[in-house]
Amino acid sequence: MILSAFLVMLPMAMTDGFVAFLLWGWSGLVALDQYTFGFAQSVRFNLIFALIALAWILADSAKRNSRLPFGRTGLFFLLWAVQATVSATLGYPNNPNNAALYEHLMKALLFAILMPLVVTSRFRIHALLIAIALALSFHGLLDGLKFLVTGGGHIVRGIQKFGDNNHFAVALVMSIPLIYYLFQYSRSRLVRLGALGSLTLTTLAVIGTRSRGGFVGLAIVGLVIALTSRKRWQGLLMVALGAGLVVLMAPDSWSERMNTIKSADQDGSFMQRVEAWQVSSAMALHNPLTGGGFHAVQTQPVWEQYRGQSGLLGFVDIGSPSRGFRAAHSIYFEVLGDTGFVGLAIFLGMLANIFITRTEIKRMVRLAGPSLHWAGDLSDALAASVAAFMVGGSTVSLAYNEVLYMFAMLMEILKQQVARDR
Amino acid sequence: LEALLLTLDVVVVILLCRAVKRRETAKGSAAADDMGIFSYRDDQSLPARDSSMQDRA
Repeated sequence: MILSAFLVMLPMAMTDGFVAFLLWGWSGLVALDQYTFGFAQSVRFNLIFALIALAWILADSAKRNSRLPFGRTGLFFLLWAVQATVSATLGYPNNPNNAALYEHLMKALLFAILMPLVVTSRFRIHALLIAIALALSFHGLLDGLKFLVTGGGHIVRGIQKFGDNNHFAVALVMSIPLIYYLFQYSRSRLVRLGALGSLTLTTLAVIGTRSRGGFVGLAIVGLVIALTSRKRWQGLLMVALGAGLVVLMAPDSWSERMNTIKSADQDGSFMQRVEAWQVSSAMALHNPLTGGGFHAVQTQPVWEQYRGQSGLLGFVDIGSPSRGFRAAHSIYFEVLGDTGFVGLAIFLGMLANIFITRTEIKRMVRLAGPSLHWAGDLSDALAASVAAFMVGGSTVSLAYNEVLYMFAMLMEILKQQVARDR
Repeated sequence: LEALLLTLDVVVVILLCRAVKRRETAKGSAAADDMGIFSYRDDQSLPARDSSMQDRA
């Protein structure tokens, strides 16, 4: 089935560069390789669409002699790419995670950095949002439906593409504001109904992960939607429905797990995370400019080297250190350990830049009037997603996930679009 | 269930690509704003903001 769909998509991508770009983004997020078997599994759909899109972009740029409209976000991406290259090159040896994660990050940055060349109008922004939402909500729909039909019994374990249940929960939460935006701004009733269904099932899928980070992310998204929605009652109604859904569908085990958020200092799982943060920061203190390389903390020799050192978190007593290595369990400590203090500064600057850009968009929209309200609402949705990522990501290693870089560049493109249209 | 949902997702993506292609070729014509069922709404169809609270938020 995937192969026959590919045969339909391929000519469309070959004849339209923007379609190729959409398919590049969609096929990467939907993780087609995880749902194919046999011969189809060996076909690199994402790579094929990426190469076609790149060829289109190169041909178009040569024809127009156009320069890449980087913006401030593009500059942060370039700095981040340089720092990542330095860290990957000078990181600890014999780290099997290093090359794979570096490659993953570079691909994500390449897609995002090329976005301003291709996504050059409101129509194209809208189409890209639908493609991203279709890819992310596929995962939400699948697990949300399983959760629904089992009456809350299905445990969502995540997928290889995003990671375990905690990583998956944060990625799903990030899609919710985007789907809500499409619900608000799609003209067709069918698409609006589809968005509403995706919204509901994705929320259920997040509950199904039993992830505390996911729950906090959901709360953040609910708060931002309630505070920023221009259709105030609709926003509040959506949040109330979401909360009702949680109360109605969440099993007792979920409530018990969420209650442990209040007593994190006595929770073994949380203290193991603190230990991972200590080891990651100790590694960064030892390699402040370059860090240890991508997920070096997840290799036994590196873990052994820094095990028992408290790094920047000497004020927390975690008891006896663990023998086996752990993931960094936080986007901040992940970046700190992997790329050092320089990398963390660039990463934090990049995150701050998203909110600064959002403020600039809101200011321009206020001056321009109602014709650009859509841009203000989209900037709110993107900011809600990134806020959920920043809060939910404080306990998972998800810093190199492409959704973040897509949303950061979408915010930049939105600013450029508003500047053109005002 | 996976196969069913993936088929649905793929079909919708193909429809989106077709709508995008149609819209791209219609550039400059009267149908330029038309993206079929994937079209976006006019901003004016949404109510004006109802308080200054959102600005503070």
